[in-house]
Amino acid sequence: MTESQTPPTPASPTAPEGQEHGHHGESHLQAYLVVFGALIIFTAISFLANTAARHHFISSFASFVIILGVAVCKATLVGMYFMHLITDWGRVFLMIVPALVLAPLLIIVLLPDIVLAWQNIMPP
Amino acid sequence: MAHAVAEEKPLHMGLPISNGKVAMWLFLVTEIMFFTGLIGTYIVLRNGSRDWPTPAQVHLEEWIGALNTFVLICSSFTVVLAHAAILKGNTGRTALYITITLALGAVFLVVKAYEYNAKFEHKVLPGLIPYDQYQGSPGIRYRTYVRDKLQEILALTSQPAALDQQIEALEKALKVQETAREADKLSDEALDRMEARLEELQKLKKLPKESLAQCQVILNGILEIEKAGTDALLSEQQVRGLSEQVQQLVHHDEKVPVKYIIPYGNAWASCYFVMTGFHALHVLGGLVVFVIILLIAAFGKLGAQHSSMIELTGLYWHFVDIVWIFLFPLLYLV
Repeated sequence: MTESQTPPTPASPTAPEGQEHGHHGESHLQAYLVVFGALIIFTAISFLANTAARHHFISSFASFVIILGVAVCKATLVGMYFMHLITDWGRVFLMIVPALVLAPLLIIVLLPDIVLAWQNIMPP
Repeated sequence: MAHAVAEEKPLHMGLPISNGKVAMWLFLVTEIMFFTGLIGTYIVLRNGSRDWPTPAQVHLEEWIGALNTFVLICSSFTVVLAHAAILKGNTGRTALYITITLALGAVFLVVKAYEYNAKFEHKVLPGLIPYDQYQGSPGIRYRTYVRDKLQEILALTSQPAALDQQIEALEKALKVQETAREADKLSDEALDRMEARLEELQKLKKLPKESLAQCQVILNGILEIEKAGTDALLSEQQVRGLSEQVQQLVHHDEKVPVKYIIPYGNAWASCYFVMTGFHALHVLGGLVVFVIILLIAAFGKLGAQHSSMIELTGLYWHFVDIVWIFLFPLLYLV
């Protein structure tokens, strides 16, 4: 399913999508398998990073960065391959991007009053 | 001319994807904002609090969280396999992969129920954690509680005959009260308190000498601090150390009926149950759809026409997986 494909007719809106999956079925299966393996490895990495931080082999900040990075990579892999965003992104990005921008903003705007100011007044 | 018009591609409004997929993505976008609200609250509360509980303090096992992550990843994989199978017209394999996904989702919920049970057993529940701060008057109140509790434990266990009498008397009273409860004359809460007290006394009977010796060591420490004067009495560090001592003792021997401080435990419990609870409800919703698909297959009606249904269910299921991908490290790891 490429961007240059003819838009589907209202009578059969999913037909081109189905055809596309049929043509590239085998390569998709291989990609799914690779992504599945990567997700398992990433989960193990985050678990190991946490264990390493607990035993003071790495700092807790390094562990936090690794674990958060791994979570973002895992979510990206699931979104891109399992949710077919690698092919559908051009069609749905206008729905997803505002949410992805607003979601972190929702947290960030609360930080100055609830987290940062409090830490300045009463350091732990 | 008429032929040329017929050859023209029909005009089509909207996105070049199915209406179902647009609807599902719109729904998922609202879900992103919904879970961001929950996860954001957790992040802000956690970073805005002076302390936060460790996984051990709230009876959270990292390996159980990792196991559930593995289970959900496997289920995501089987869903994409189911979708690939239905596109090839292989309904038998589709039903098989959906069955495996259903089983994996059920495993996730069973593991979650096991985790919840641990929280209920240890009373790590919102609003039910009596000691959740080290500093200030709550810290001082905690030290007084530990001192009184340890003194009571040591006094009761030093006189086994008196302890037996108390247990016997409480058992008799409980029987009478159970009859009263049946007649709606006693609240469940009062009876629960009596049962908890009986359980506590029965545990005391089984306390090994090592645990009692450790209780004595902790009590001596408190009494020394109390003798030392006001500065030590107000020390947050001292309360923290005392709670850690109690935690070690309780984790070594669960029969010791003394509570340790779970810093900001009530806020943690609220966040934990709301986030994992809503996530579990989403898992349950997915399982319902998988059952419907399997019922369609059981009636022999599953076919290529259901590929869109399976793809959309898959989209939803992968989103549930992504939410867990963020919940797991937030709650169990960092």
